[in-house]
Amino acid sequence: MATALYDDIQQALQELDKPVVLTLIDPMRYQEAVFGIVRYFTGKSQRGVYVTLNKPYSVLAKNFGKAGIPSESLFFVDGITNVPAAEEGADHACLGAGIDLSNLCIGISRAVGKLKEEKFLLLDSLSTLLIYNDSKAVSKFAHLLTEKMRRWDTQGSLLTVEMNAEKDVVSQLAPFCDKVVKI
Amino acid sequence: MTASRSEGAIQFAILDSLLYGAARAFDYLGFRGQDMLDRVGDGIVHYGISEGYFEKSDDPLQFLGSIVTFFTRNGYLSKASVEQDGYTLDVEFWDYRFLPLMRKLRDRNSYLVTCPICLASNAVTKSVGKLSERVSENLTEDGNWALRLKIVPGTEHTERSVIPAKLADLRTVRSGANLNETIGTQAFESVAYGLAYGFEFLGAQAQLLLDNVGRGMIEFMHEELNTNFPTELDGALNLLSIFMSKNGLADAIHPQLSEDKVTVDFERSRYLPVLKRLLQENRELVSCPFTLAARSLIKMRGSTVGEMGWDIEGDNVRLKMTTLDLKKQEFDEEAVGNMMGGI
Repeated sequence: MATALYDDIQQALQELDKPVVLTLIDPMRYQEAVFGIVRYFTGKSQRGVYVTLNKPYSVLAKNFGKAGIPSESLFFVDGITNVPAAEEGADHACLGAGIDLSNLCIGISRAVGKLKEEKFLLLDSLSTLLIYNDSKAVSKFAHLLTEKMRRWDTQGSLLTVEMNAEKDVVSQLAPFCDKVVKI
Repeated sequence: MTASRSEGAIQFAILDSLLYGAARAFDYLGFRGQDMLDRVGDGIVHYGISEGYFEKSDDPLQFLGSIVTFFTRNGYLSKASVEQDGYTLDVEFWDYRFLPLMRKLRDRNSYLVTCPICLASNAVTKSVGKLSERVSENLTEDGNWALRLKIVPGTEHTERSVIPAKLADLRTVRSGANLNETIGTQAFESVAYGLAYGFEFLGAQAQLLLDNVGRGMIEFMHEELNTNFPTELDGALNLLSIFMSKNGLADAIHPQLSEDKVTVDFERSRYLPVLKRLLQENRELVSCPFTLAARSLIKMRGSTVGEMGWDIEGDNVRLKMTTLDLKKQEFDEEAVGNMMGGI
């Protein structure tokens, strides 16, 4: 299934150069979809920033390793691990659980600024932000991020899982993305 | 305000609101919603085995038999029979307590199945790479539930495995007929655990799905039990506390509100065994019926729940939630954009 998903992603994005994509994921395929997307972008750029709001970066790094995805090329921005104060390592920055949208933006731009090579950015996921924020604020956040990604000349994807709560964000954000990919 | 109850049983008013909320939460996915719900079945099976409520068997039919026995012991039905002929199974349930909820869901054109026995059966069948197609169903003259299933290869639901080719006539079943009856707490625990366990693969965002379950619960309470929650959060949580304690979730439930905090004390909570296990297994999601409904009531009133935590003391539990006023949230794109540009 993971290979089929990877092929779908490759086919959907093959004609786009440095795309900024909104990926809408069937919840049943979430794990495979994440693997497929990371595999696709790690094949396109040397480095990448992975913003995780769902699972601690340590868990993700292990999962990627088990799936044979090289996580050494990733710098994780972690907005879920509970830490007493923001902390940073060679491959991650823990911003603390439940971080607000403004500080998340700043954390992301710092991480992107660290990587000098051609890079990508993945945000996992807009759905998590909808637990703590209203859809208007999440749409504004996502809009700003896509705008910055273009300025940084960074390709990547904002992920969202189909949960019946993301419809407003998807419709508002879609015009600012190169493509909406449904997995 | 405090609501009290001294009995030790859970009423269907709580279990059915939870199962109704679950069905409604996944309707938007169509048949794929059943695949998500079957994950709850995985949790029911995991919990039942871990707690010693039933034993695992390599023979799927024998395994299913022990699960049905467990739910029979807990009062979800009074008797069951299963006859196998090749890949065809004929199942009959006596006094099947899912029927009133099935009637309600079907009246809404919702065909997803949230009967805990079916969810657990689907999980077991899928674990050996098979699915059950629902060939026909029938309500016998005695009011028994008869279902013919065909076992086919596959692990993803189709129309045939969700909607029976021949549907039963449920007009004699009254929606909500069982809400004053009781169900064994072990069956309730297994469902509650299943909800928290089933969607863990999604990480923190699964809470959004569980919040949808909470919204469905509120709908159920309103439609089936005429529970109209006041506009003020204070009053709404008090009414929810009365509802939940009256129906056996705890002996008494005491909510306390401040500007940005909600604290709820549960005396002898029936959810405690589930909570203890979830915490012990480092599982972050919570499926306590009160919590799911409360989160929904908070959201419907323009706020959302931030951090959530539990204190356990003996049989008593304290739930602590911080609330965030969504109306006060602002995201200034220009200001934040400037800050990002300066980095």
